[in-house]
Amino acid sequence: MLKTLAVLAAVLFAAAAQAQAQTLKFGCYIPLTGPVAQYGKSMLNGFNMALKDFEATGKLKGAKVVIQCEDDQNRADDGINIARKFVEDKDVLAVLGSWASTVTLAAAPIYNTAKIVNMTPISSHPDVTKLGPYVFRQSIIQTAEGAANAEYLMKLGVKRLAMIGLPNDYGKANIALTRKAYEAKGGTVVFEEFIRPDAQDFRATLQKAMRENPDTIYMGLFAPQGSLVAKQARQMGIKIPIYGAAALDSRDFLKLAGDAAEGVRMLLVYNPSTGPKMAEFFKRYEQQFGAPPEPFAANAYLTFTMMLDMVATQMPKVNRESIREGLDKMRDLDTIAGPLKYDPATREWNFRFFPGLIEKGSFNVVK
Amino acid sequence: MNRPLPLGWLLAAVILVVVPAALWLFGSAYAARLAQLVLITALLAAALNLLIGTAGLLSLDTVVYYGFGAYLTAILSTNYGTTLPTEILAAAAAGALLGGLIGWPLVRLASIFFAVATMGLATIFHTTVLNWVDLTRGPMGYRGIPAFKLGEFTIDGWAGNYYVIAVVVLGGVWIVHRLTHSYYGNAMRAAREDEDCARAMGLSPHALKLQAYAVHASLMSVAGALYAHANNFLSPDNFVLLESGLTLTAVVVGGLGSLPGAFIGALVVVLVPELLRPLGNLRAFGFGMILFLSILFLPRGLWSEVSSLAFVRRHLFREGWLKR
Amino acid sequence: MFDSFVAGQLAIGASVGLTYALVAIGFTLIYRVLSAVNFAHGEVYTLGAFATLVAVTTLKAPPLAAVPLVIVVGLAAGLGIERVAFRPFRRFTDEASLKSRAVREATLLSSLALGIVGREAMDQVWHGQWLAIPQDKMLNQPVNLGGVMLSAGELAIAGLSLVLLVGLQWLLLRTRVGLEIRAVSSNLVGAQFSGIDINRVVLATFAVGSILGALAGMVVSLAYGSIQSSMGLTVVLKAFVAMVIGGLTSIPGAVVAGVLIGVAEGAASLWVASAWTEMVAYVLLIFTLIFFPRGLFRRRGA
Repeated sequence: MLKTLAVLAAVLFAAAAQAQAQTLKFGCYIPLTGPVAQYGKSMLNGFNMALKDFEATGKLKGAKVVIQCEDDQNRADDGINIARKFVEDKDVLAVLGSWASTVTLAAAPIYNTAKIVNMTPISSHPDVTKLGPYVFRQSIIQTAEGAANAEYLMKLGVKRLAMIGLPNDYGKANIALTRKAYEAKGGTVVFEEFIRPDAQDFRATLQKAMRENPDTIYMGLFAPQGSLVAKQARQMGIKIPIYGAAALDSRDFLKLAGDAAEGVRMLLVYNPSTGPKMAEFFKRYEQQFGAPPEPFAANAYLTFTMMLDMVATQMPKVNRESIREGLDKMRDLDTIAGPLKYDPATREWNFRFFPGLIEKGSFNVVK
Repeated sequence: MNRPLPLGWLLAAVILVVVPAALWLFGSAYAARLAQLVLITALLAAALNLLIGTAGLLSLDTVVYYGFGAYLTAILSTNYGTTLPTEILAAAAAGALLGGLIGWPLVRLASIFFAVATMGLATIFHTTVLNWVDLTRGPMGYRGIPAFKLGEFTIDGWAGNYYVIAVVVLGGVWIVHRLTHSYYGNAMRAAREDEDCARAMGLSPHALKLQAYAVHASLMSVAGALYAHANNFLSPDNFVLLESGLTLTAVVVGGLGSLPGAFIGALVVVLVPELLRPLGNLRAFGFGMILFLSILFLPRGLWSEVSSLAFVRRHLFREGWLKR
Repeated sequence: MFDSFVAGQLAIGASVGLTYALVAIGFTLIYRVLSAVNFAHGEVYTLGAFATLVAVTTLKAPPLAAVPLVIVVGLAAGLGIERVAFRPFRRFTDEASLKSRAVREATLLSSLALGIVGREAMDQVWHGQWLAIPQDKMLNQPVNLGGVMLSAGELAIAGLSLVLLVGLQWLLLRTRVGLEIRAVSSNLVGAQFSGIDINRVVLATFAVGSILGALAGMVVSLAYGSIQSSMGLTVVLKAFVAMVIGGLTSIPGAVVAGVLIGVAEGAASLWVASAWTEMVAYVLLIFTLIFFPRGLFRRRGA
């Protein structure tokens, strides 16, 4: 009897101690199943690694951090369902996600109305942060990428550009903004076409592009389609340079395009040669997951680390509103991607771009 | 004294009283959102059931009329500030018209040819909304669709939304019920089973199928109107062929040709993926397995036509409306 | 105006169309026998591609040596699909249920569900990633054929389509198994009464059809080089359209229709942006069905 009571007391005591330790819960919505699951899984790695690193720093003061990642299957409906669920869960302090702008655009207004921060580490659609004061972005912004693309293209002396893009929100914005910036600097776009994302033969488009006599081909594509376009261009004997969107910075592109990737230029954000912090991150990521990080993983890592560091300064009084205030008060931050600047007008972080070139099967920053 | 409560009233009571009461008790906006999706899916499934179950046309074009109604409502309400009755009527009329025009040549096609043609329609629709940027804003999505408006009165909050959707969906399902559980419905079944016999009895299979197709298009378009307001955001990706497959799944799992089956099927396709969330990246695998096993072991669905017809007939006999 | 540009667009279209045709062959064979659509065919195609990848990377085999492995994988997949998704619905052997619409729709959905399961299972194994056939194993060497530049992959696709087409016609029209298959496809119950073992014939059809699907996956992946678990999804839809335009039961019809779709897409890209050409196949389909409600190459009496 006494023994039972003792055990019971011990259990109760342990439970009380558990309740004392603060739990910081974050939600996340990313595609974990379906055709684009690989990108969501990459982000998941980044989040988990950020969490592990943060726990190791000991800034937690005994608090426990939880991140609950839900699968949105890249569907807007699922994104809204998850949003309703997180809004209701009083423990969820802030939400990260999603991958596709379509899903973020559908779900973020719900977080905004419920006054929960939704920070997207990927969705690069220009309208995302216009949804309201609770929507933040820590990612490459298409406007900035377009301007940087135009600068790099002009530096390369490109006069006549043929543009090929993905017919989704990402591709349309990417092509439109790069085109605008490039034309403002005096370049001429001689051809623009959006491909069918599920096709695997893009020679018809390439042939049409070549008829306009461009001196460079621009691909606003992801690795699966971009690699096919590059490969088929070389197979058709097209010799002019190929320039890609920053989204092509992915090991997949090197793997899928093979020799055709050589000489392709694009802007780089995450590259081990850009700084010692980045190099160290690459090394540790590779140790943990057996392969170098994709930009999505690096971005997810950076975003969650930033969020956690900010929350740690507010301990123990952390709530949904304090996170918004905290994020909005930040200005400069030293991250794995170097020093970043926050723009309070748009609630976005400006990334640095490095002109890149694929040489000998790897992404290199051009000096 | 011991006359059982008719099923329809039971269903209406559950949807209008029991579910809202439970939602209110638990105060869950998440559950309310799922309840709205279930209702909209149920209307889609009921409309599809009219076409597949009663008229016997296997169709995969749900997203065409669903998306048409949704985009129509989005454009009307954002540009012209229309109110709910106008939108429902517009969606119903335009959906019926579009359905009639498209259905005229299509319903002549024999079984599998019809199914493939509707599959083609779904892809054509998706390509159009994706690329006709001036009208649909293309892949950028249509956002900022206002809440339901009734006259001067704006309905927001989950309870208002829920009731608007519940009433419209029940109305739609009631229409399908009246059509299918009548001589008219029997005429459709006759045309489904044997066209020549139906013709011999003076029925026109083509007209019957066309009418079923137009009614189904109209109801789906209304469901789309509800969806546009409930979601506040539309994108072409909401209307891909796979989503048609989801409605078809609801019909088949629920039971071909039965209206209670439409509700059961909608519950299954909306709630099962939500309940499977803890599976993480095995979620879609789990859903596929459940779908597969349910087709394997319940080939007639959870509530098939025969049992539902038997149920209805039993009540009609008991109430003395039909003579045995 | 018929210049080299137009010719080039049409030739590219024809080459794309041949990949549709190649997948449509196996798909049509299965439909012909059971009058049932096998939506899991796309996953067989994907499996064939993955088997090729395993053969050339893990086993370091030359591309052609992958053929036996691909055949074994296709065979296993076909038998598995038949056993799991189709056989259970043939448990009633009376005429009414064998011919009933409900059974056909049930198998359509069961194969669709099995396709989802298979796709997600492959996703678990290969983490949903895009994988590449190593460049030295790919069939992309340029071949000069009388002044026209073609790639080895295109020739392989065209060659395999032709070989499979002729081989199948021979199998169907000149062999005992073919006779049985034709008997089952024209009258299932009658065939049963004349002593044909239906289960064996259906199994044989699935085996052959799925081997063809897996081979198609192999050749296309060797020609294009990129592989992912959902790659079969759109291909099977195009094969379906080709089958219907070709008249459902005619294998040569499906091949011609597949090429026709490709050429139509190529021709359409002369006037409209590529993004719109996605609907070309389906517009072609609907027009064909309106003017030829039973497809272009329907066999008489079928």
